[in-house]
Order: sequence, then structure tokens, then C-alpha cells
Amino acid sequence: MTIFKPRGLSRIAMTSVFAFLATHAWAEVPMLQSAVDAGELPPMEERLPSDPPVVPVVEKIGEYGGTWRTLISGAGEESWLVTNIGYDYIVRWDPGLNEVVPNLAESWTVNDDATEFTFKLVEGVKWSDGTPYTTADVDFWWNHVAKNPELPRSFRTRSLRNRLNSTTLTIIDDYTFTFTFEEPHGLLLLEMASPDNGRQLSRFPAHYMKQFHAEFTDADALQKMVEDANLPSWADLFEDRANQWINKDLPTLNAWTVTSPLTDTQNVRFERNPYYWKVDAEGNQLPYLDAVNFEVVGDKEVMLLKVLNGEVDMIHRYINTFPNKAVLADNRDRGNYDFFEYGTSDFNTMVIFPNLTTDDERLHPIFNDRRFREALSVSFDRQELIDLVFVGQGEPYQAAPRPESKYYNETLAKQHTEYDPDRALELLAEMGYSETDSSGMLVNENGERLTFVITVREDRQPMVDMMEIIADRWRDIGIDAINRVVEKSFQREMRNSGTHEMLVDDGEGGLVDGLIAPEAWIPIDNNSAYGIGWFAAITGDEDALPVDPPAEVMESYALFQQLKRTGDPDEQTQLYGEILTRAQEQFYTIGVSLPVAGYGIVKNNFHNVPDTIVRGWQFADPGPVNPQQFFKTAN
Amino acid sequence: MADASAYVKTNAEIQVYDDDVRAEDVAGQWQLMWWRFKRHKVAVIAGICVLFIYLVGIFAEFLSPMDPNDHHTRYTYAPPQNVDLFHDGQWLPHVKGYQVEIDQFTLRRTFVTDEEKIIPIGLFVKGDEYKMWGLIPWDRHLIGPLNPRDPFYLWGADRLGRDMLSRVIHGARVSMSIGLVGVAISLVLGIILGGISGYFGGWIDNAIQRIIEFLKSIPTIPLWMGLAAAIPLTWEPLYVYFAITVLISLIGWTGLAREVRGKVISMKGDDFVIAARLDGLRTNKIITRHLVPSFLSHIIAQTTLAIPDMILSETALSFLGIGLQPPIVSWGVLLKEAQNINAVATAPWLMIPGLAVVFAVLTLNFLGDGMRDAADPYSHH
Repeated sequence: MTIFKPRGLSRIAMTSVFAFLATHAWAEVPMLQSAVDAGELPPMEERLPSDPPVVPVVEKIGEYGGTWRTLISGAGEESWLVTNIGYDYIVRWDPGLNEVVPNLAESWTVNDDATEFTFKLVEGVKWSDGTPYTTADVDFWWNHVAKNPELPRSFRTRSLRNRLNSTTLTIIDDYTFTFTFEEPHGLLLLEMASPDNGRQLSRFPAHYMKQFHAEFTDADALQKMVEDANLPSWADLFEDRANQWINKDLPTLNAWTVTSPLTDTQNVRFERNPYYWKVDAEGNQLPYLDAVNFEVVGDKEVMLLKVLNGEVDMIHRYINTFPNKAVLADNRDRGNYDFFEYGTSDFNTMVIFPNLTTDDERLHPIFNDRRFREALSVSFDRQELIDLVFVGQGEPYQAAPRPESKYYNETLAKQHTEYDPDRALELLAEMGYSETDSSGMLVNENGERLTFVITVREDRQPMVDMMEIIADRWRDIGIDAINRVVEKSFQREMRNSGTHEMLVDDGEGGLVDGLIAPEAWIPIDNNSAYGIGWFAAITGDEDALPVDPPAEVMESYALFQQLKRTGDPDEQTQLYGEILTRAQEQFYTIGVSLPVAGYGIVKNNFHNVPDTIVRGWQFADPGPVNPQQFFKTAN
Repeated sequence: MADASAYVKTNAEIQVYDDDVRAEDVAGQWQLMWWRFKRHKVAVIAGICVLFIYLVGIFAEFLSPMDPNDHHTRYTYAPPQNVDLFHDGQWLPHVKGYQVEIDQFTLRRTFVTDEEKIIPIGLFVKGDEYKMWGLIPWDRHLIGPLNPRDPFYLWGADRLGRDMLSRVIHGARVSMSIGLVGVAISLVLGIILGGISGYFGGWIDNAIQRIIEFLKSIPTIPLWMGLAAAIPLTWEPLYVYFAITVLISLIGWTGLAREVRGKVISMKGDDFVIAARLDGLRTNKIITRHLVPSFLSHIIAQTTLAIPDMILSETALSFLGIGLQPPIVSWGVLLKEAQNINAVATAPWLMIPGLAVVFAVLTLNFLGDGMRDAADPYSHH
């Protein structure tokens, strides 16, 4: 039985808060003072939990006030709000991304075979309208939202979607609940700390959402609301009202609540939640900043100008491209900003995916021949690409966990990264491609060339540049590679239906996030572009034609199932290692180079931003570094 | 009928046998146009410039110092070099080399001119091998460094260390040819169908106008997306672009056809058209000999305005994968790469293709201006 209790720094900080509490009356937040004086809002100690979670500050205790000015490119950018504003789930990543730590749940216990998870919520946490957050809200989500077949699948969380009927939720008291699974669920905590899953448990305030739910509201009254909102059904109304980026009336648990919705064309704005339930080490209620304002700017060049002019306080999206670094560096004094390091969990700058499950009868045996993939890999010079496209930053690398990851596997990372065209020719000759035709292309005894099409996303300039050079090198040794730049969604469409021949894309999941999403090594997702047909066969996904996976793929998949069933981190690491060894033996994909850290921009008067933030959707950056403790000073 | 045609003939005879014959009175239409065009000095100069651009495009391989797609790791974003003719008082045309350092913080190469490093240059030097027009293998270049491995960037280098001068020269070929095919097809279709529609009227007019409305009502983006999916990925990018240009012009003629139709309707009742018809001239002759020349000036103005559009829209469809794409080099592609603050602030020489476009558009417009005036030789302004 593993029991998690807060420890380390935050424990000490908490003790000091108790001492502080006994002797000190807290200072009210200036922005809320008048509302408190007028009696519209209870004083701070009544709004906060009696034992509020303490957020460690990065640099120093902050000052209240000010607006975090940042940018957003449009209404499609919900994920940018999820990570900046909305990272308050029952559990979360610690700022260093080493482990899952308490958040809305102050502690939890897991039984030994990872089938029973009991969570204890922080007592006294309130929604932004002052109503307490209790297990009643969890119960409402599980029994009436997740299990309601009319409501969107995404509300069920990816983690629990397939276990909906085999899982029981037991409410023990107002603050304690237990999930019991039939099958072990070893990755539940990791998944609950990431946005795809964790978000759902803490975003449906039962007392407010019930009025839009068919099981709780009189059908006629509900129908009237649906018609007034001009929506087709109550489920649409429910989904619309549950959108915390649009509905100003929806109570949330976030530090800021929306005042100008995501659909606004000028500014998307969030203001202080007076009931936010965390404090700093001195007992000041967070957040420090009164508001967060996302100015809507569609054009990335205009965004860059705004940053150069110092009109943005902190940002690490849109403008922080590799080529922009020079112009941003030149204007640091003018814009009064500086850089922070934006680490990455990506393991590669570009991964080449041959489609091993292609239905092309000519290509299928070629792509499935490991010698061919090795030949492709050793016939271009990675160092040349690194020098040319990344000004020498990075090292030759395959699709493998990053060197700083505990799953690092050197053979997988470095095999076949040397530049050796002679070796490539040798391998291809073994495969029967030893002659050349009149234009110098390799042919087999039937006079057939090694012809295939590679598709590159047009929105990724470095990939377009690299692939052009790689395809040139392949043609130099006689492989008839046809390189085509296509629109992103077109490439996605081809990939998801498994009709591509070869494509290039990002290499994501090089740190612990690769445990939640190991699609680079096991075909379990559409991102596994090397084995879309296997993915379809394994999961029953209907976009692509299923192709029976070979034994070694099924072995890896079985290992992953085993991994998910254990709650023991050491066993997980060992099983993951075995999966990686199989990936190394199979060598499905070809990587280019290890990405180095990017950068973000922060104004010199904007504080408590750490020197490094690590990127990754599963990490919801910058959520884990606590934007609630960012603050601004006059200069 | 017979009476009327006899009358016209008599009038013509009177004019021809007039004692006081001037050259203008008997000169043919094209002769008049040429005389008029020659008087338009700016247009003549512009014509020579257009000819120059086409010569550059035709001999691009020979004129460019390097292969336009050859990347050079050491010289990414290298600034332009100056040509000096003398060294220490001696005749030695040369450029200076660079000292290159990598700035680890901003992640860019910094270039300082190395006064010590003299790179002699010459005419008709040996350099990258190429095939002239894809046929004749050769390795001579009009201008270049005597040692082909030395850096030689008269107009600077882009993000992959490719020579901008060579890229602009090669860009002229694509930009000044394929795009214009589309303009030409639209022009021919517009004149013919617009002319027929206006001249005959009735059900023919009705049919053509409804077709125009149908074509205009097709939403273009879904159409292009469909085409993008339909074109096999194995096609060469240049063929794809050519096919798309032709297809665009196949539905792009509608605007011009409407204008032509209006002009024809307003003129077909004029005396000279009735006269020609009474003379028994065939319909297609009436349209091409009499009607078209009278609104030629309008068409020329239209066409010259369409050309810059075409050059700039080369890349407009590339986001769907059916516009011009690497490794094809065109001015549109080059300009797209320069359309960012980074280029303006740190590598302004990437905007040189913009000057090339301005030059081409201006010369074409002046040429068109002269041609328009010439096409209307009896106007006196």
C-alpha cells in the first residue's frame, strides 16, 4: 500500500502558515477590498480553506495587482488557455516534472495491484461563486456527465473511457472518494495530472450545471433554454454552458475566471477568482496578478512586433521560433524583456516514418525490410543538417527517449546515425538493388526503382528544409525519393487513413510523458505513422484498414498492457525498458537530431518565472510552475 | 442591300483616289500601331527591359554564378559582398572573404569582411555543372570566383546559404513564363466567349452568361482542396503548378468575358460594324478585324494589370501543396520567404526579389501603356 502525503518544502511551508495564522491577520487583496468593505464578499479567511495549499514562490513573495499581457492567435487556441489558466486538477506535476503531487486532492492511497485509488480532497475549497467543492461534484461528473451517453466522449477522459462500466466510484464522505477498477490502472495518477484526463474531474460544478442537465431539470424548462440559446439539444446546451473559456457565469476552481470570452475578436480576458484556494508561504491569497489578458492577434509577425515593442509580459508560444531569436535578442533593451529557457520533452527535430502497413504491394516488403530502413538512415549526414538548419545545436539522434530521461537507451538513440553511404549501398545491394538505370537510380533485377513519396508539412520550415536535403542525398545514392510539401491537415488525413507512403513529423514524448504516450515505440495512436494498420487492428480504430501486427509488435503491446497494470514505478521503468529494446531491434522510424531547448520571453518587471520551463502537452506547461505566483512590479 | 453596299464602295474609292494622299491614310492598322508605339519613348525603353528580363530567364543557368539550390553550411545569411576592380593598384577584380563566427546566444552566424582574404573573380569561369535548358551539359558561368569553392554572394545568401543572385535569376524564368500562360488563356477565352455572347445575343448570350454565373458561384477554396487531393503526389511541382494555372484560367476568364460582351453590345450597332456586315464580311472577321481592335486598348490595360497579380499569387496556393514549391525557384517563392520581420531586421537582402518584381511589373506596365496608346492610333492625347 502506497500512501502519498505532502512532504518536503511545502510541508515546512504549511507548518509556517499555521504559526503565521495564529498570530497574524491577513491583509486583504487590494482589488477586493472595496467589495469586502461593502459586505458583498466575505473576508479572505472565510473565502480560503482552513488549511490552504501553499504554493512555493520561484524567487520572492510577490505584490498584488497588475495584468499579465499576453497573446492568443484565435478562438481555436483553447489548449493555450488550458495550460496557462486552467491547470488545477485533483493532482498535478511538480514544477520539476519529476513526480505527481497533490493539488485538489491533498493525499491519496493506492492498493498494491493498482485497482483501488482513494483520494482525499482539500477541505474548504470553494468554486469561484463561493460554493464548496466536494465529492458531490465528483459524483455528479462520474454518474451524470461521464456516464451519460448523450454528452461528449471527451468528458469521460481518455483514461477512463474504456473502463466506464467496469469502474465504481464510492463516495466515502464529503471529501473522500474511491475509484475501484476491475483491471489494474497503473498510469492513473500520471494521466490525471495531464490535461486530456485530469481536467474533467474539476470542471463541472454540480450546483450550477444541474440546471442544464436533463436528469435534474424539468423537460419543458430545459427545452425553453435550449431554444433560447438556439441549440439543437440539451446536450449541446450543457456542453456550451460547461465551457469555462466562454461562459462567464460558470463557477471554476481556476485562479482567474473569464470576463471576455475566447470567442471575442479583440481580447480574451480573465480576472481574479476571489475564492481561489491557494496561498503563498506568508499566507497571502493567490494569484498575485489581478488579470490575464490575451490579446487576439492572428498574424504571427504582428505578434512578434508586439513583443519587440515590450507590449507582452511573458510568452512562450507563437513567436519563439528558432529564426526569430536573433531579432528578439537585438531588441532586448528596447522592449525591456529577456529570455528564459523553454526546455523540451521532444526527442527529435524530425522523425521519418515509413508506412510499414502500406497496402502498396511493391513498397510493403521494401519498407518492412530493416536493411532498407538502416540504409535510409545512414545515407544522409546528420551533422551537416544540424550545422545548416540549427546552427550547430543538437546531436545526431534517433527516435529515443532524451539523454536526461530515466528511460534513456543509448543503442536506440545512437544506432545508425553515422553517415556511411557505402554501407547504405551494401545493404541495398543485399536487398537486390545493385544495378543502376540510365539516370543513375538503383534498380533490382526486374528493373524496378526504389520509388516512394515523402510528405512534409508546409507549416514546418525546418522540416521542409531538412527533408529537401535528405531526399537529395537519397537520390545521390540512387534511391528515387519524391519529396512533397503538403498542407498539414491533408497530411493528417493521409496518415490517419494509412494511405501515406512515408511522412515526416515531430518526435514527441522523450521524457516521462513518453510513458503516457509511447506511440513512437508501440502503434497505439494515430501518431504511430509507421504502423497505422497495426494501430487499427489493435484498437479497432476505423479510419484505416487493419493490418495484422507481427508477433514482435504484439509483444510490445502486451508489455505495455502489463505496464499499465502495475502501480510500481520500478517495474514500470523495467517494462518500458523492454519496450524500448524491442523498438531498437525493430527500428521502425528514422530520427535526425536531438532538439535543444527553445526560449520564451519575459519582461524584466515580470517576476517569479523560473529560468527553465519544460514544454509538453502532457505537462500543460506553464501550469506546473504555478502562474498564480507570477507578479509584476512598476519597473 | 445592293444599293447600300454600292454606296459604301464609292465612298472608299473616293478616299483612295483623292489627290492629297498621306502615308497615314493608306497605312494598315498594324503599321499605324507600330508608328504610334515608336513615338512612345518610355514604352520602347520598357520593351527593351522586358526583352532583357526574358533573356535573363532564358539563359539563367549560364548567367547565375551558382546552382540556386546549392546550400552552404558556413554561409547561412551571409551579407552581400562588394566587387572591387583593383588590388594594390593592380587590375584584379575581386570580392573579399568573410570571417564567420557563431554567436552561441542568438544562434546565428556573424560575418565580418576579411580584408586579407582576396577572392579573385572573372568572366566565363568554371563552376557548378549544369544542363542548359535541361539538355546541354556545361560548367561555365558568366561571372564567378576563379576557385569555385570560394564564397561569392553579390546579393547575399539566404537561410540555407544559397546565393540570392542565382535564385533571383532562376526565378525570372518561372515567374515570367508559366504565370503568363494563365493570363494568356484567360485572355483568349474571355475575348472569344465574351465576343460571341455580345455579338449574337439571344439564346447563345443567355447560355454563355449562365455558364459564367455558374463558374463564378463555385467556391474556390474547396475546389482547390479537391484538386490538391486529386493531383497525384508523384507529379513534378512545376507540372502541378502549370496544371493549376491552366485550370485557374479556365474559370478565370469570366470577368474579362463580361467586359468584352458589354463593349461588343455597345459597338455592334455602330455604323462601321453595320457597314462591314453589309459588305458581307463573315462574323468571325467582323469580331476579330473590327470589334476587337476597337477595344484592344482596354484589354491590354487589363492584361498588364493581371501580370503582377499572377507573379505574387504564385505561392498563394502553396499552402495546399499545389502552388510553387521548393526546389522550384520563383520570385513569388523568394518573396514569401522574405515576408517576415526577421528578414527585414536581420537580412534585408532577402527582399531583393521584391525589387525584381517591381522592375518587371513597371516595365510591363509601361510597355502595356505604349501598346494601349498604339492600339488606338486615332486618339490624340
